[in-house]
Amino acid sequence: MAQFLCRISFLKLAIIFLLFNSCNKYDYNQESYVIGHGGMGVTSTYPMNSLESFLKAMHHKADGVEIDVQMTKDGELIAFHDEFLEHRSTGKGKIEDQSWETIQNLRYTNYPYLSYKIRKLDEVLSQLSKWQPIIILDIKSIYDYDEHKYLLFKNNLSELIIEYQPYIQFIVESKDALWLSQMKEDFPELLTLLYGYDFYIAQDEAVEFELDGIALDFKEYKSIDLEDLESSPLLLSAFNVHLKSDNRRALERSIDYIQTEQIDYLLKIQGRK
Amino acid sequence: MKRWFKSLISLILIINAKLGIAQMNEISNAGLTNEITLNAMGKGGWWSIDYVKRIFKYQSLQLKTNIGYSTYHLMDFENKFNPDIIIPLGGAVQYGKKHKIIVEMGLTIQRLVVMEDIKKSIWNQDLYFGIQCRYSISKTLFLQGGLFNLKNNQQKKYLWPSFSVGYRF
Repeated sequence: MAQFLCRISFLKLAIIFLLFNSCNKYDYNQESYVIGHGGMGVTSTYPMNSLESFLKAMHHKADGVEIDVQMTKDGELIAFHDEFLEHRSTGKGKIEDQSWETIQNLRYTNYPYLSYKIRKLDEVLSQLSKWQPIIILDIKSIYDYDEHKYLLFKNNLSELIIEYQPYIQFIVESKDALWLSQMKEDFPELLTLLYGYDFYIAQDEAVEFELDGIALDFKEYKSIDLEDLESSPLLLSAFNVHLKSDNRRALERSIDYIQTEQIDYLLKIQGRK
Repeated sequence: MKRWFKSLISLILIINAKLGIAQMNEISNAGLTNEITLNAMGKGGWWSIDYVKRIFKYQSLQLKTNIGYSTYHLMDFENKFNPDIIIPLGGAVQYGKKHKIIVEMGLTIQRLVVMEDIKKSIWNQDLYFGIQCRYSISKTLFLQGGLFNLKNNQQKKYLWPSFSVGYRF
């Protein structure tokens, strides 16, 4: 009886061992780029779009980071996600209604005691350039701008691209397909991604405007046939890739730029860490 | 008698029995003037470990002082060991026999690692104020929970919960 129980236990262990080992055999796509979403992501104790979060992502060996870009009242480009300052900082009101002089004294407020600043885009690019990273600039709100602001934004962003292009592979992401195609004309080496909500609609619009790719919430990609993804002529970028399972699936679906919350995990399953 | 009514009576008797035991434990706790508490959230931010010393006792009233330690990051944003340091330092008034209410007030001193032109440490200090309730599990162990009003140096206020487990000795 004891021998029988021993054999059963050994068999169970063997089955568990085999199952466990079979989980790690998948050959994940190593061509996907690992992009830190706002740096280290939403759940990090470093606030998204803080310089410390970006630096942490680069020290974790990400291929690059995604930066949310907005413009202040006096034309400064800053890294900040939300339209209203009070959602994440000690400030109040819309970014576009505040001057840089006011914003530079504000701090992020995601947790008590932490004291991280809101940064100019110029400062962030200057600190990150030594890694020669990929930087996805997620352009917020320009479609609300009047002509003067629109031109001011375009000129200021263009100046930064010219300055840092030798060191940084820029990708610009926006809902405004026309603006993206104008940027592409001015900067042929710039990659342009159309921010969309539906894969097929975004794909058609990106092709029409001769853009390089599309950027969608990852949950949109989950419902698309693998064949359609693989046959797409465009670069594919996914954001809101939160869970480890999402990261695995993003690799399986050959997403080109994975804006992840799990930099270490993604690099590990690619065999790069 | 209906089953739900029997269950309710049983539950009430069990709770009262536990409260009775807690009261007996409190009588024999008079000589235990030191405490270590492990706190989730509360005055340390996300967590802290505190040493609390009773400095005065009169019947149900106690005065205490505390010093603690917490951190957010052990490794800084350059992946080097360089912890943020948060030290809550303050006092408390505790009142009660079986169940206690604790009013705390104090200062947190912080050393935070941030990026300026180069990486550097900055020092801040902020006030905290909190109210907690304590429930004794045994002679030496207790549970505590409450709310803190944390005020950071940027004048942002946080209404922050606190859950603690402590040991008296």
